[in-house]
Amino acid sequence: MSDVEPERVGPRLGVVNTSFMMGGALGLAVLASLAAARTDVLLSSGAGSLVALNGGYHVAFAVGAGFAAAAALLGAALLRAGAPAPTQERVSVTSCERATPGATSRR
Amino acid sequence: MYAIVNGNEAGWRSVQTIGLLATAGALLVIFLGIEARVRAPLMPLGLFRQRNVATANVVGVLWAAAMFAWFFISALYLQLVLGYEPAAGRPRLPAVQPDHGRLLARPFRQDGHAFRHQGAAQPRDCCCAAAGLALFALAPVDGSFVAHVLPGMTLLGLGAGMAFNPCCCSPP
Repeated sequence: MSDVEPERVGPRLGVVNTSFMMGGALGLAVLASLAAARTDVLLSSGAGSLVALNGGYHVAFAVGAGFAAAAALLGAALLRAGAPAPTQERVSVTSCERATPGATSRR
Repeated sequence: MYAIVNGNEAGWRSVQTIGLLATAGALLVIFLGIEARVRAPLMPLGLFRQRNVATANVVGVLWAAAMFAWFFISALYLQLVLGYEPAAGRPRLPAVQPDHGRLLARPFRQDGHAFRHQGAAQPRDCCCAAAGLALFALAPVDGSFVAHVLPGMTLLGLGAGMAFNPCCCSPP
């Protein structure tokens, strides 16, 4: 959030929160559908109901692990930890520094 | 969302599924078109020009897609496969406790140091969560709590809890 000018913190947090909600809903929909599809396949091939159910959940957990691993890869490749943004100067010399003394340690 | 949830029943190539997905896509394009033109947009698209903001959004979607689905599906696993009673909350404590412990231990801070530290640790935390999910993907039908549920849940609680802050607050 410190990449963003103070007046844009609200929209930026809103956007990230929307991403969370959307990601959660989308992920649940996709993974639950995958699990149900896999369970149906296993049931029709003669597996027991518990085994089929568990097989469906395994697919969902495995794909979920893939999502988390992709998030780790993306973060490692693209997130710049501690790199000052062009707007950083503006943030530190305007409202932030005066409002919160702790903000001076950001540079 | 409706298209995906009902995709299995209606069929992935059905008119309903394809029509709903196409409509959603068209609405998204119209929304972005309007946001790019109006003077005071609800969602300033310029935010996404900052690489960290754009990346944090995509990471947040992936993180939430994995975690929110896990909450739901792991409860189904505990209840329907392992036979726990529906209201059983105790088996989930290992995930909850580190999760909130981490959030309390590293509260939302305004100075850049915490963000910097968390941003650097984000890949490690997401890997931790991925490992927990992978353990759940191996859990057998007759799994025991200590051997098959506890390790994955602890890894998920730690990893997901720690990865949440850098996604949500965006590292500098």
